[in-house]
Amino acid sequence: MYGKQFPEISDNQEGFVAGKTEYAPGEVAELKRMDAQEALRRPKPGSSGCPTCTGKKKFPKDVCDKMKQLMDDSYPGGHSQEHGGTLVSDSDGNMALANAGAGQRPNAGSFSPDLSAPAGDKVLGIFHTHPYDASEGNYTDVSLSGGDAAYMVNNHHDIMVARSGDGLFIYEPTSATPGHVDFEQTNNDQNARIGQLVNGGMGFPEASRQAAAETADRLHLKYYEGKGCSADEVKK
Amino acid sequence: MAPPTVTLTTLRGDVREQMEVSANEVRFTSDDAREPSLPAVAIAWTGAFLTPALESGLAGVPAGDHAENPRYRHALAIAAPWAPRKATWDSGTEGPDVRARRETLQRIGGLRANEARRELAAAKKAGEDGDVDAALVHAKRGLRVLGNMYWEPDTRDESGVRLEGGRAHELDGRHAEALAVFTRVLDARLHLFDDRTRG
Repeated sequence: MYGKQFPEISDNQEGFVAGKTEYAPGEVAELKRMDAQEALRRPKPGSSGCPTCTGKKKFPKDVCDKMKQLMDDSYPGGHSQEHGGTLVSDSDGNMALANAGAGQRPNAGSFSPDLSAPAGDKVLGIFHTHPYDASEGNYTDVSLSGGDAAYMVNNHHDIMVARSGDGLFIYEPTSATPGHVDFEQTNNDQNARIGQLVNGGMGFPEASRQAAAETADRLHLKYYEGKGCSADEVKK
Repeated sequence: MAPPTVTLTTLRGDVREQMEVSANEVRFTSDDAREPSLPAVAIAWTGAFLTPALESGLAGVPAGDHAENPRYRHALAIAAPWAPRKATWDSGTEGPDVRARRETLQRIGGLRANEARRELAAAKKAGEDGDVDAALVHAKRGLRVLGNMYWEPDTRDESGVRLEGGRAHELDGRHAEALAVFTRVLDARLHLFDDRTRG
């Protein structure tokens, strides 16, 4: 064993070993859970599979104001701290931003959403901020992460939104989006792509946007970029 | 007889990382600030690779802080790519062998955290002393030693993106900004580690 140059490792999207045919009981249960998720994810006949897709997105003023407020709140004491909330829709289809709050401190870019919704409301997805304070170089316009994409896909949400400064970024699934993706792989791949672009001389925020667009393309997501309250679909 | 050098190679995107492990030293050959790759198939590989680690020195060493013990460091480095994360053990079905491996990995995780904590303290001290470049070295070592082992989907941790932002600062010569990003991510991950392993 010692002295061996270990081979490079790859895994399939479900996180199980490629070519493996025997699984422990716990692994079988996990596979069944994933199958069930896949079935849930398939669009119903006649459904577009993307109920909120259009070429342009514009948030209601009260939702947008709340998003801006959360962005402004993302530098307590001059230090960055992600904030966010849960986008919900009431029975009349009105969008609201619920459960607004802050991420963990000390913050390194994390926000754990509270997915509970008032009775009768439907959870649409997550909004969160991407703050970088002065000591971190005041980056703005940093786009959605691979983890954002995977979170939305695996939770079967309709939307994922991030705001960074005035920059607004949105993912939405389509009927071609896979039912489940490897969370970690998706996140790591996008981070690695950002690194690759930065190494090639691109600025970090721009690299984050290009990598986000590429992830969207790979996962068949709609991807929007904009400022303030509205964003336009980015097409390759 | 001292164990020979072991080279662990992982691929992260197009970045190749190597850890060369000898009896007294763990040497990272990548100068990348990102955490070591920890493959999702970790658990499947644990049995094959942790057993030699156990045999080579982990077993029998009393509990406590042994991060400087070369035998521990050796075992630590061998097991590093298989730290428990997404594919966590199912405590309802695990047998004695699996339990032993899990507990070993948890112990290794604790050692890694201790080492990362020392690196973070050294980074902060060097930063306070105005030696930003030395502080960067410590911060990056801490990030590599700790890894991203307690990243959890429910937490929506995006610290990996922030590390890329830090790397961009460093590439552009903004070392103070890079240090701010790296130390904050390391600090946050250590807090997350403590939170996940408390009690």
